[in-house]
Amino acid sequence: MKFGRSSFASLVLLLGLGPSALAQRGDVELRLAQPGEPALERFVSEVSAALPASLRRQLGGEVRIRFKKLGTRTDLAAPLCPGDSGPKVEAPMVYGQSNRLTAGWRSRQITLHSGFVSEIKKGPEGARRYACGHGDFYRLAMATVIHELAHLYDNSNSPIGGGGETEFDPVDSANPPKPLRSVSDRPAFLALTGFGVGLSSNLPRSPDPYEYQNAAENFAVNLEYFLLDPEYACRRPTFHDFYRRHFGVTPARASCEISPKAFLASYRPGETTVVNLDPERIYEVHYLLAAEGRDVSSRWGHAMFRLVVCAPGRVLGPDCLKDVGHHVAVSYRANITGLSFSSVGGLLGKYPSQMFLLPFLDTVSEYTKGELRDVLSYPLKLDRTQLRSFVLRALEQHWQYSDRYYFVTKNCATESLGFLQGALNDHPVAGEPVGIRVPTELAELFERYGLLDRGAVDGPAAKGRYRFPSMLRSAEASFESLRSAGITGELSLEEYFTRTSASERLALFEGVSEPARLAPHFVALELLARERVKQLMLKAALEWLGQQNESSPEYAEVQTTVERLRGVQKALMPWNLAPLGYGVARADEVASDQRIQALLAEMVTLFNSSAQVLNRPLEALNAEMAGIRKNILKFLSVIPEKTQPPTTPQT
Amino acid sequence: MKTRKSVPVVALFAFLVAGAQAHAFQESIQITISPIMTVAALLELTIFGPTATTIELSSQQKAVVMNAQPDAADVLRGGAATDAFLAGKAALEEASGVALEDAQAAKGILEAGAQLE
Repeated sequence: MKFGRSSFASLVLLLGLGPSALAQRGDVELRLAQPGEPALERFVSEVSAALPASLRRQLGGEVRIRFKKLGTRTDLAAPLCPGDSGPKVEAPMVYGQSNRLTAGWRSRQITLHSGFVSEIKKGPEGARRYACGHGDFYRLAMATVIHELAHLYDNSNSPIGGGGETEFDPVDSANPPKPLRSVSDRPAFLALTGFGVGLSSNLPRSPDPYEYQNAAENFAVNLEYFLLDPEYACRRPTFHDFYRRHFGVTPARASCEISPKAFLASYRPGETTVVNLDPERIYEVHYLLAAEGRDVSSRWGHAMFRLVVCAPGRVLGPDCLKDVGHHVAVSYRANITGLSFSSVGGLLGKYPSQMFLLPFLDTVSEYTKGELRDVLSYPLKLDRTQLRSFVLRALEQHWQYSDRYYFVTKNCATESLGFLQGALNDHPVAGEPVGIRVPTELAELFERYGLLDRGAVDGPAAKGRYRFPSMLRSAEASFESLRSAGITGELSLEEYFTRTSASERLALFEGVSEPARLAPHFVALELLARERVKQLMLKAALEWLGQQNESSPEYAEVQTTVERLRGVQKALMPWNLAPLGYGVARADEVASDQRIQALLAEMVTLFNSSAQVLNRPLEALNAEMAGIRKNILKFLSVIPEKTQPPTTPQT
Repeated sequence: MKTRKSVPVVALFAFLVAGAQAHAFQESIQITISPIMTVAALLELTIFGPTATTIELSSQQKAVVMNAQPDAADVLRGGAATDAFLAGKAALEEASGVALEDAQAAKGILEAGAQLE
């Protein structure tokens, strides 16, 4: 049933088609229940011509089309478009339905709302138009027939609908073949749509939110657009590939060019970078793992992907691995935009789970410097077709993915696994149950499916390319050099930072007999000292805020700023930068550069005003930071401009 | 139960605290480069010694240079030049118009990083 609102699809799937439907022969024939009206006959012919041959063959027999008032509405209302305030709908708008419940003992029949008759008679050029979806009522009528046929087709592939084929369990090939499920219930389609990983939200930039009712409706809605929208291949490229493979046909109408433009989220307010996610410019994809951290929330690592984007002008090949400044991290995160993180909120789905595209180097630094965690980058063994699908999946998700984050069941690991399954939905990995996952086990899982080799991150040559050690490791090596030279006395590495100030460390340096040899080690330790002070600043600012009376002007100012910043950040989410259209945005649907620059400038202004308030409790730490800066410059000034031979074991 | 933790850097509050350092928006930085790779530069070095050079870095160059710091420190200690370090070096060379040796670039990256962070 094609509704404006709700669905009976699950009931329909339970009952499906009866045994008599199995005996159909030849291609399906669409016929008007009341023939004779030329415009309606032409309409039926046009729908029939749009159907893939394999679908026509699978359905077989006759399907009658009739027109009747459906639901309680006599008028034919347009679907609500993004930005429409819309009337308060008292009853759902039912555009069409089929007799799937009784089709086993009666001829199959699709009923369209009688309001379509006058629109069909006006023809495709004259029918009423609206600003989204199929765009006019003629095409909506076509889509409604296709939608209902999609359900009949979907059911005909299920065991109760007569689907007689079998499939192997990709996880355990020793299992006996199982009956083929309806198309919308197969692992490939569930992976593609996200229902396999517990999709729980209506995603933005949808052609029709009704697709999120369930997988069966999703299958039907997307078949409408696959067959009718010339831009579908560019707006939902991985869905298009699925339907193209499944039906063995590319609709004749398809004609478009994918816009590869995407926005990198920035670690620095006021900045954003546009990146071209053109599969032809991406050499490899890696599974990127930030190793275990010490916090509860990071104890199982963080799962991401790395797109090895080649620098402009670089020929696609292994040298693209050097272009780290152009690589992109694909990271699912709970988008926490408030002053604190609630663990309970994280468990109960309070935060959105969103896919961020981030500068790769910034991401590595976040973990190796900010959180002192190793980062491992495992190249995925994908052929060019699979890589293309992966990149296009990233584009699709960039423009529309915003679900709910659940710390245990829908976290970065399940999202990353779901992402890979969606991209490689014809690969056995798509059948892997998602369940409860942690990031540290994904590399092993992907290796089991032959998608990566965990040994790639081992060995000296892997450092800085496939393995990025925590800054703590190099600091430990440098501290050992100072300790061996008798400079740090009885201090441990931890005490070196907690018991000495920047000025005391400078005094230590000024007392050494071999400043040029030891200066690089002092520098390495100051880099870690700086990261520690940053963390202390964060902690001090939070503590200071916590001590403020909520009615104090300082607290109110920060609170107001955070609220306004949250608004700006929301406005900068990709789907809000392109509110019209669906799927991957066309270039002309995206907000102008001026609009984006204005939002970024507003972010900087807000940021600076709050920085003034937050600077008040941080005076001592700011002084320490200035001391560290001075130390680094001082230590560097004595280092000769010639690379020193190794003096310490390197990590 | 509400607990506080250091939220991911992309989260808003980390933006706020990072901003308290007020260095992220500096437009130009000064690094010391001994431009020894050209004849003219060699003369300059001979006569004047290492010179302080003011360079402008784009947002992307800044990010690359800042993220190359740990690896630059490693190079100064005799470690291998990693891809991150080489990207930082290339950014400095592009911004300054001067070809650099690894040790020069390492010092430049760390000097720049000290001013940018």
